Amino acid sequence: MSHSVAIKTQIKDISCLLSQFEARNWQIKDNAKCRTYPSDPAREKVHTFVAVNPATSGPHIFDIGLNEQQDGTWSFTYDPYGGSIHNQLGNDLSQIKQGYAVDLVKRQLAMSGEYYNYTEQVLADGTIHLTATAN
Amino acid sequence: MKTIKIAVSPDGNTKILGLEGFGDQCMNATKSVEQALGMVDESTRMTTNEIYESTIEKHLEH
Repeated sequence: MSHSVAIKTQIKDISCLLSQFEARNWQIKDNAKCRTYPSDPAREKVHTFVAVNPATSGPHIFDIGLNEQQDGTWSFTYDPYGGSIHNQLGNDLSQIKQGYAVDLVKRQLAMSGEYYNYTEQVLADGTIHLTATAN
Repeated sequence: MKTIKIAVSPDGNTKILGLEGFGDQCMNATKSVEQALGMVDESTRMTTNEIYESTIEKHLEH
């Protein structure tokens, strides 16, 4: 027997989310402010976590603030101006969101008691086909 | 051997494509994964026979 089903991913596992940034050399700060556009009043907001942009050159190196919402999901706050974020993490943070989902699947399956091996195939549209196999 | 196939789109949304080797435990096999990922769209859930019939329909359309 088999089944298929679609799932709209919600970012609820902060450990898994932070690990996506750290794997890409973005350091994490607690209770910190983001670098954003100089006249942006959001510069003064303190975020629960800040992913610090590792870029060292360029005029618009901005960070990403992470805050938990009332429904338990985590939101991103950042200024995309200049491309210093999207150039590294993909449009709309696609690398982070996709990496989060792949990693979360692996973490959940690891808790099942079975030992899985994984293969990943990247399709032309960027979709990853993840195959988990256990003996 | 047990196999689970999952598609993860660039926006992070996911689709369980199918399972092999779980027998009648296939729904339980992905339950924790589904719950951890987020909002399951139950209107899209299809079981083996439905997937098979859908594939046949697509073939007949062409």
